[in-house]
Amino acid sequence: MNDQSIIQTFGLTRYFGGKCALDQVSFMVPRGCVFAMLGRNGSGKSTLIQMLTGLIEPTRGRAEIFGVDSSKLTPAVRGRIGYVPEGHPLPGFLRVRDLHAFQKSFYSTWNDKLFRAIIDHFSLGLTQRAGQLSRGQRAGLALALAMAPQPELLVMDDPSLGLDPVARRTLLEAMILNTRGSGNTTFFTSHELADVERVADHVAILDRSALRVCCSLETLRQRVKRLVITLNGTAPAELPHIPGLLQATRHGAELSLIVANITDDARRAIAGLSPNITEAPLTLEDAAIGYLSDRRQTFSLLDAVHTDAEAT
Amino acid sequence: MMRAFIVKELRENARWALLGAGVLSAWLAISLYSQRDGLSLVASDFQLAMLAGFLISGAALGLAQILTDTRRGRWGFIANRPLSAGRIFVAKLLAGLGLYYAATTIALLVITLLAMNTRFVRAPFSASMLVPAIYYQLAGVVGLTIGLLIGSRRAAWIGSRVFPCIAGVMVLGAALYVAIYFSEAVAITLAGAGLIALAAKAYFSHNGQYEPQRPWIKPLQVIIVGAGAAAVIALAVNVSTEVLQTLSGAAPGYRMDQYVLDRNGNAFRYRVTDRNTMEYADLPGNLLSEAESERVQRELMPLAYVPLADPSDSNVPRGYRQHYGDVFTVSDRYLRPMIAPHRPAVLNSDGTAWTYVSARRRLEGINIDGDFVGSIGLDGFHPPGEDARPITGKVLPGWDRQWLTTSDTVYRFNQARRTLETLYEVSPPERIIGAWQFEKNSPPSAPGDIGTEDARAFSGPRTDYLAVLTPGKLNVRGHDGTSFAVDVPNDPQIMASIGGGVDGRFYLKMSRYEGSVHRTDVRVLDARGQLISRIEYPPQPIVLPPWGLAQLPMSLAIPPVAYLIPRSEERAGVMQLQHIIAAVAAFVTTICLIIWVCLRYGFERSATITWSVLGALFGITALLTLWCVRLRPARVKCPSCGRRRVVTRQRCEHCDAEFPAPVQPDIEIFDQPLRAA
Repeated sequence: MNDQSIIQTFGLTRYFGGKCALDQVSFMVPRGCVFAMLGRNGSGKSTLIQMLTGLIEPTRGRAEIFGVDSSKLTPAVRGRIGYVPEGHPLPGFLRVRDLHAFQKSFYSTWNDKLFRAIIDHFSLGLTQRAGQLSRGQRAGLALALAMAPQPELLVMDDPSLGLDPVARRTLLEAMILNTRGSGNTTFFTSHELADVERVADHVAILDRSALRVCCSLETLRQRVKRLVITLNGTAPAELPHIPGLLQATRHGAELSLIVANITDDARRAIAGLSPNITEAPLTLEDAAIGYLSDRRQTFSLLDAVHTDAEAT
Repeated sequence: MMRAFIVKELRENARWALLGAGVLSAWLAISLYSQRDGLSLVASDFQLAMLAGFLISGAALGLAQILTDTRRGRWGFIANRPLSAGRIFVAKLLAGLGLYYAATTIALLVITLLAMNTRFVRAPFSASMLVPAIYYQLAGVVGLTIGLLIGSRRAAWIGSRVFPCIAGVMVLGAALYVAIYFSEAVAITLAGAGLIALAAKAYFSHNGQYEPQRPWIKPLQVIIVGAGAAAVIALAVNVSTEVLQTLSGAAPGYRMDQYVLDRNGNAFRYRVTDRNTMEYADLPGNLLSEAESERVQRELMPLAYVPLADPSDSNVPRGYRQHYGDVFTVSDRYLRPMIAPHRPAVLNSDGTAWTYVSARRRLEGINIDGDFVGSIGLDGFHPPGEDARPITGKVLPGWDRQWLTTSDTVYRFNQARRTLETLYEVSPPERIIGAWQFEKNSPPSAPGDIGTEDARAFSGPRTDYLAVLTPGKLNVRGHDGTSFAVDVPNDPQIMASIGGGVDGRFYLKMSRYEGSVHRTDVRVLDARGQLISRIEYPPQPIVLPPWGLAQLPMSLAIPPVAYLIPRSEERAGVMQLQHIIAAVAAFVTTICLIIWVCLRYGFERSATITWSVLGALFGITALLTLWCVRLRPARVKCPSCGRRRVVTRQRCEHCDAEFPAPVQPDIEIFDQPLRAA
């Protein structure tokens, strides 16, 4: 294991039947960061997390956590990992206090104060049964149970799914609390790109089972650009080949291109469309959507609807 | 840490256990109430109901324990903690055992209370009657482990999930039908449950954490699933054979031929066919008409079956010892040594039931309310508070009627007088091996000393004669003054039976297998044991008819290893050429299929060889097992050679090409240190 990495994967691949859910994914997660894994539904995020935590077996390749093969995680290594599964499933018949006592008995590093603070924040009563909690409260309880042992690595599978803005904010604060100053690492998946931008310092993007991006947020901002082109006259029926083109959207005479890794070839191809080119600011959300959307799409859906309406 | 898990399991599954206790209590209460013979907890039907109830309860609890925790998502919460999956399983097993015993003990208490209530069950109750129930409760632990295994195992195809049930049936079959001694039955049950639990633990660990397993675990899992596969194939062969027999209209084969005697001493051939029908024929082999068959069946001479060998003789094979039923067996007599002394020997018209109590070596009686009414020893009846003189000599097991046999005396229990009457006795060093009763070869006379209808049904046939076996001699005594002794061989291979009594004639029939024939001879004796005549009937060849079309499924499915077991052609039947061709074709096809499946699954060479050898030994059972135990890997089109390749292999098995990396260099962004090699 690299001293600086907590997670390493080597050509990690998983099939479900004949469908490839994850295709030869290799990456590293540095120690002490908040690492966000992005991707559309079905892109393989949850599959990746389940393989990382040794819950399912890779079809090919392998993953290491703390330098240990994830399919052979020892109880000691598992004790260093906190895991919040997707949907926050908990034994519904047990009360909050039972779950607290149950979970606490496994960890010598259990922080009762932290547990109480989190469940108070989510307005949880100790006598409530887990099955009767609201989605947000259940998320809070799952988070408290995963964080109170103060794990070196906190893995969360779409923890903000279905949470209201206040609960989401609390979750983000918890992530920051887990990481900052303690050297702990947080690895999570999410669809809330604004949240990711707020807390993550590293990001990876899974696109149709393959890993396309794995870098710091800063690098992503530097390497992905939005270029706005004002077209003269009619728009071309088809765009020329632009290396690194992620998305092209036309709004009237304006053509907006999101391009990664701009090369001289790309610049020449874009300049052939129009000399009026300006670089516009780009958020993480724009960049991520650029990766996640269909790259053959040239016009936005709204634009297509308007065009159809005008034609009729 | 395990303690926390046990507590969690207990809390979470207590409701299922409570529900199970309620359902099981209701089921057992209904079964107990519906017993017709008034035998209470030791009635055979009720014992079957108990076995089924305990097994299903255990299996349901085991399944519930696993399935609640292995659902998608929940397993992540359960498995990700500093406790190995193996220990989680052990915690589940311990909690499951606790819950199972709590729930089933509630049910047992309920039926015990009901059994003690004579308004609910007519028969008297004795606490010892609970002994078989306690064994069946233990048998339910096998069900619990099977439930845990079925829940933990990932089945390759729908239906194969329940295959391990057969392993449970095998364990209980061994305990109830192979074990001779009660302790053996308990040991077999515990060992079987332990092995199934080990296999289940390995499956459970494999579901999440991949703990290293001992090398013999995998073969154990294959055996457990393979037993189910074999059962499915056997069922398919049986059903298809029946269908083909019916469709082809072929004459039935036979399983057994023997000579039977009617009340006049005339012999007939009696045959049980392989379709479980019975045929009567005269000595030349002509089938009797239906009416004549019914007459013969109605007027069969009552014969007492007399095992000729001493079961305590160490040279007598184990199977024979069990067959005699005169040693402690837990087989078809349902824990007989434990129960038999507590069965009501005779329910008399005064409502008392008498039973031999080995601890005090005397008969003890209870009334219908279960109150102790007194004891009977060698000096007769004594009321409560007085001690009867203990019975001397070794009491031979198997006493459950009005007879009591010791190694030196045969007693008859006279209920009217409440005394033990000596019917036969020997002086040392002579000893009694066994005693049997038979009725006179004549229409039944008035019932003897049997009181109630239940008791009459229970106490068996009327007894006019007593046959006592001592080493090398069969001694016959009768109410009519008959008394003689005949020399008999001490040979467990001989099936002997004795009957008669009409016109002072007795018939001693002895049958034995000699090579490929079954020989029978009957000695006709007078009332003093003198030989009047000896009739040797034509030997019956043990030749099964040649295999017909109906045996085709059998020839396809029979495991090749079966041919390695020496067996006479006469016993096995004659395979016709087409069956031999079918068997060879099935063998070759199976091997080819196994190799093809191994290649398709992308097995290593060693695994392919192992499965091929198993296929060569066990035929299609091995093939079906292979399909059940190994999950089929997906196959996709190879971008290099275009043929379909398994996804689990790094390189294509056809062209050796690797899977191409899904690279799109134009758009990929990786911080160099982050990209793993």
